[in-house]
Amino acid sequence: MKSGEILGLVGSIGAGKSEVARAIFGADPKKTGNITISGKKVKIETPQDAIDHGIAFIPEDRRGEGLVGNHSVRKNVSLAVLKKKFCGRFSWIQQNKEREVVRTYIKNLGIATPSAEQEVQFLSGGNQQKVVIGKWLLSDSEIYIFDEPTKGIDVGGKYDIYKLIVNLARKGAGIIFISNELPEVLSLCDRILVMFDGKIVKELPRAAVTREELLFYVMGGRNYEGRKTNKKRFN
Amino acid sequence: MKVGKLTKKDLINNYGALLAFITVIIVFSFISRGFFSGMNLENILVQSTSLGICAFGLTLVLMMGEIDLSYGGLIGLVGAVLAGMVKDGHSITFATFVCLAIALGSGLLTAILVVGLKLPSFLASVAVMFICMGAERVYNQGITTWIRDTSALSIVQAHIGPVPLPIFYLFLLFVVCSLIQTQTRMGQYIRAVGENADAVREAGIKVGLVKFLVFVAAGILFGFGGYIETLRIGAAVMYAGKQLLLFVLAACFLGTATFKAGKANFPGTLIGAFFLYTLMSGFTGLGLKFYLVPIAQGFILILAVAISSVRRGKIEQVQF
Amino acid sequence: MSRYNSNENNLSEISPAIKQGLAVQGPIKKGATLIFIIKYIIFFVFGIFYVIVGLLRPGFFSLGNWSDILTEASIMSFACFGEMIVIAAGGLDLSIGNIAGFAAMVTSVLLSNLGFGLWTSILVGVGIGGLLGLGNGIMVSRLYMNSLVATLGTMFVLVGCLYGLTGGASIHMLPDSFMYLGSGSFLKIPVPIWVMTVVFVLVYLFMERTAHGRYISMIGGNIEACRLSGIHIKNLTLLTFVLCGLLSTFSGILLAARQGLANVDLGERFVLEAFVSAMLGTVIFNGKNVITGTLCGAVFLVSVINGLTLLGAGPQWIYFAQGILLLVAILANYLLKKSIFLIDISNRNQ
Repeated sequence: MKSGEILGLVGSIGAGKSEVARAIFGADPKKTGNITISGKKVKIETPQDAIDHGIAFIPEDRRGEGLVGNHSVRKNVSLAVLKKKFCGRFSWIQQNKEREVVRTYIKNLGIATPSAEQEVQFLSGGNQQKVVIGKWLLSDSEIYIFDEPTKGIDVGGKYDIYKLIVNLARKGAGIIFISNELPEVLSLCDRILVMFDGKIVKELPRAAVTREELLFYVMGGRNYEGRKTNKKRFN
Repeated sequence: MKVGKLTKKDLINNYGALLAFITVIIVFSFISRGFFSGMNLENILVQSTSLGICAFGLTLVLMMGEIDLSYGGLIGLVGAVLAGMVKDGHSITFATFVCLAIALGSGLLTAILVVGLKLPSFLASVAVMFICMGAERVYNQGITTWIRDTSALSIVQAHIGPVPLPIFYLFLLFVVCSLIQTQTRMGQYIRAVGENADAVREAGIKVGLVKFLVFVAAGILFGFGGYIETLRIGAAVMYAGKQLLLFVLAACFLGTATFKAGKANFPGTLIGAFFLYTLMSGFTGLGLKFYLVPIAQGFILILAVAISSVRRGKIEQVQF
Repeated sequence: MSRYNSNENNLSEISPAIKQGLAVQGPIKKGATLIFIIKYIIFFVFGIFYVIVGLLRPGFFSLGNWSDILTEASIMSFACFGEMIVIAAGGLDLSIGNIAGFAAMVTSVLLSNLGFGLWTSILVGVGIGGLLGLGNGIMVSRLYMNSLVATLGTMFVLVGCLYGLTGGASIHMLPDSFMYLGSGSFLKIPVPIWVMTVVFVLVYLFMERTAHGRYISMIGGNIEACRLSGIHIKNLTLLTFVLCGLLSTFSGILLAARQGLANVDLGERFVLEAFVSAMLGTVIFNGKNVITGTLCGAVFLVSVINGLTLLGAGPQWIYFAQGILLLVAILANYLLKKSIFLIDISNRNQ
């Protein structure tokens, strides 16, 4: 994956997309495979390892895995970098600094909340997702893995998130965009990997791909070119 | 791990506690004269009866994914009422009915608190336990009442052939509970609710009703346990439940580690109950200090559960 | 009741009365009164109780009586704080009573039978509590045991150890310097209250103002989300049990000092008090300030028992009362969660 590239990962349910993502992030133990960052092979076994290597993960289940519902927006946003950025000696929290920074992020991301102290469980889906994204933006990671980031979000929210992702890529971050919604994958991604039955079966550059071709591979097809010729023969 | 072949690891993981149990029995039989005698074994079985019956009740609740500690108070309450009524001259049948009613009431209370008011089962059942303890104190004013009525005592202290009655009760209940759990739909529902309550709800089954019935059933079983215990001892010991509190829990949890399930199950609970008393009997027979018994029991409990929990890989939280 | 519904679903869950109130009165007034009541409902409940007791037994409000109440509550408070920390991370520690009792026993044995110095003995006692807490923590965080079972096992072992240490006998030849800790006063305020104040401040600062403390509360909120945010859930869970073990010993040792003797049943009361206090702690002050809430809970609990005893109630009523109080605490907890939900809806519709 190149810096500034948005890599799409598609496949139907059960194809293994989330599993791969989680394995990269160290969320689940992996059996085989290597991860290479900037040419160096790295060992990632826990989320902490992944974060140290500059990887961020926005999970599919934002309420179950992304947020701590009964705590405030502020605490959720600062969760991943609390010790690194906002703490002094004895891991004492510098609350003023934290509040300032979090407020900036809330504004920039456009998170609609009465205050930074609002419990995240009361926010709408789109805003909750923004909180999760904000958390990871704070971490200044180089690689961001988004797992179905726009699921269950209204159109306006979706657009905000697309804008965010594109901006991130422009700034040089590498993005893995996992989604089942082919239209958004086709419009956002530079390159698309299709997974089927746990394996990556095809790599497609965005430029040449049509929706039918992508769907074909998602469904498990092997050779799109071949199919086109077959169809012609029938007619 | 090969399917079909029993590897050594499988054996330890799945049947660890059972193997330990058998080992302990064998060891005790060798080093302690008289341990393997009919009388000693019979003793262990009889002692385990009330523990086992209460533990069955708790096992039912645990299968559902809830917990019920009310027996800590209910056992004593039932015992006190039973002894008191018999002493006051009521017929044993009437006293039994009253005890049943009390057990039912306690189960209902717990059920209402947990299912109706949606309170966490741990705390709600502890609250019920305290209410029962208070009620027991009110009833017997702190006096231990003895039961002299032989017809009453014979419910428990008689024999059928060479076998004491309590053992019959225990195994009868074991069979009944196991059958209900494996053969009836209700039994399947109980397990299912414990696995994934939401899925069960989506399937159209009234989860609340299932839980309600189980708490009530548990209450009745607890009451029965207290009933048997009081008759077995021949007296209503003050706060009898407190002693049994931890033992019942331990038996059930030992049970989860005994067979493959990893969850509460009846055979495991039965073995767990026996195991605890076997340790007690063995240690006493060997002349070891009495305080070593709970230490051993604690270690066995931890060991047994740890063996199966280590594979889990994730920290388990207790939900409030 | 899911809090995660979209806006549309939320609205339909509000009762017609509140909906009307929103339309007619304006959301601000309705929400504010409700918030006020819920926030201080516990105070109302206890306040009423105090008034009743005070009317019947004016001695209840005497300085001496409240000094006793606060001292006893202070002694209890350490175990309450410990349990609160464990519960905050989603665990349960049933062994605090036995840890407290065992630590107190060890300290007493060292002091009276073996003639060790005051602070050495106390240090050993506290250290043992820490080790036991470590044991609990390892079982839960490394062996992945359920904390209920793990601490249950610890209880069993400790009961045996308690009896084994002294053969069931109590220790009552305790040096004056030790007794001073329990019943002495410094600047007219009993020593335990001083200790409690210091510990309270430390615990408060730890939970509210350090990263570790915040992580602990968030682990209790959603452990998976914390894990995926790179937090060391295993080590932090371990820490909660160690802290709980350490804090419990304070309660045990101070109680022994106050009673003037250490017996095998010393820790019996702790588990219940700790639970009720911790539960009340999450409810008082509307769910914020759990630490202060826990302290208040401990005070309430002790004062209720004191009041009941003054009224001449026997031990049965004490048990009843504890059961009822526990129920009140968890009911309030439940109602609070539900009402926060409703209030927030009304706030959002402004």
